[in-house]
Amino acid sequence: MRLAVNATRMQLLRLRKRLAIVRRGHKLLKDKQDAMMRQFMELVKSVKGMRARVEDQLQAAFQSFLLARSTMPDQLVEEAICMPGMRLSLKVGQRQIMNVRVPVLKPIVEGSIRCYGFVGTSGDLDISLRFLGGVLEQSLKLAEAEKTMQLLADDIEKTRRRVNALEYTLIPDLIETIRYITMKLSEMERSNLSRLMRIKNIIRAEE
Amino acid sequence: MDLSEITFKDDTRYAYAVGRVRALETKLFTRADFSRLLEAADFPQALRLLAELGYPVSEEIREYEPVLEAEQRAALILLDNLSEDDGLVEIFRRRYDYHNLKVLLKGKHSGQELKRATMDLGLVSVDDLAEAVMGEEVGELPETLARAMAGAEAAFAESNAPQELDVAVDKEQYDFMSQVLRRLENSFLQTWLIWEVDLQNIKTFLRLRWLDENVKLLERDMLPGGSLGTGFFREIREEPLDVLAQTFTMTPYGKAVAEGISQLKAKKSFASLERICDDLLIQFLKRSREASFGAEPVIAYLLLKEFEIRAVRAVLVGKLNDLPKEKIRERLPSEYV
Repeated sequence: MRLAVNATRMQLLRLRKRLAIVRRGHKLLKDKQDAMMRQFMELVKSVKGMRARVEDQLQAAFQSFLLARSTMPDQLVEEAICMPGMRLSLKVGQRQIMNVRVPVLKPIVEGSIRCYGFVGTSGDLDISLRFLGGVLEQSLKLAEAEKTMQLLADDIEKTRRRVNALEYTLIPDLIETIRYITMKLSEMERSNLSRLMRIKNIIRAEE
Repeated sequence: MDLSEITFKDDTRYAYAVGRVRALETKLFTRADFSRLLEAADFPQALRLLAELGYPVSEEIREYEPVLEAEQRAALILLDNLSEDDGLVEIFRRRYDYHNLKVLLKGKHSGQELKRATMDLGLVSVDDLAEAVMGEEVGELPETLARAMAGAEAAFAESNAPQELDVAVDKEQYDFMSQVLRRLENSFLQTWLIWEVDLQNIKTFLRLRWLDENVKLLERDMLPGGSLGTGFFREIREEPLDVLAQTFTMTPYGKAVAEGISQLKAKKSFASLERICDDLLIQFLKRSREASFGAEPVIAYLLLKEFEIRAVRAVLVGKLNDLPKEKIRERLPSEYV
């Protein structure tokens, strides 16, 4: 769609300058999009592996917990784990990937994950808690990576929309407008020339 | 501990009790009963089978824990009725007071309402115990519970670690049991307690090793009253697992511990070790059949019933959660599978 501008030489120069800037911007955005896509794909691959590992460990932890419940009355299980001995605090920082701010999670763990005595409790409970203790750090890394992936995906989407807007709307519109103004100016020049020639002929005829 | 040293005193006060228990022993679950339970298609069918086998399962019951608790309660009431020694009843019912004490102490220090985790099978009502734990009416508590509470509070104040509460109460419980049995001069039950403590300490030792926890905890977590002292475990704490198995050969648990350790190494699970320890205790309890009259068969029946209830729980939880049969089987005493 042609832009609503006056068909003047000044506008033509302005639009040509704008087209050059837009083309440069389009190239930069396209390069950014490609780089982000590359990083995103690498992240997807690692997140897939991380998630599989975390899910395996969680499944093992839950199965051990179920097995512990199978050998202990519910009240004993409740008594054993009702008061956690481990405190977890989370330090949340930030870093930048291609100008996208992503979170960095750092867990600070105090105390022991075992919070019960050994009498009356099953070894399966130890195994379950050990799996859970191990999976804690991994799930925080996974959460960090998944959030990074989500933020990158949002930014890729935004960049893609910008690239498309430049590529399929703004640049064609500018080109069309430039072509229109060029044609209009040529037309005006031709018309001016023919008018001058006609005036010249009239003056010659009167002489 | 030489088993030949165990003597059974003919205590004719228990003549009726032994007769009653002998009749009830025939109703304890057999391998065939557990095999049927394990083969049940699903949880409701397992509950129906349990009803057939005499457990108090009514039509409207959909949960397993109330059924097992009712069966446990019935066994304790039977002990109440048959026992001629108050000390015996106290030992086995006091266990629930200690459990309730741990729950209430943890509730107090974590600011939670944990009455759902208490068990209404002890000698002191949960409300009275709760009042004592909250600092009111401590004077009404039996001495052993008051001592356990004070010890647990002191240990917790030092480290703020919740397991300190458990450890202090458990130690007091076993100390109390040991004192009562000494007073009753019952060599069978005294030996049973020594075996129970030793096997628990062996499991604790191996669990601590596996968890790579501080060796200082070894002293803290070991129960008193066993034949293998803390010094024995301190000496072998650095030994590799293969050597460890040999260090127990001079004890009655040598063969069982060696097998448990080899399974622990192979399967990275405590299930076999725990099953083997249970097997040893069950075999030991079955020796009570040599007693003609006395408290031993009554106590042995109660404890065997508890093993049975635990095994039933394992099967029901397995059925309810679709656990692999092999995993359930691993957790049942060899007697039952």
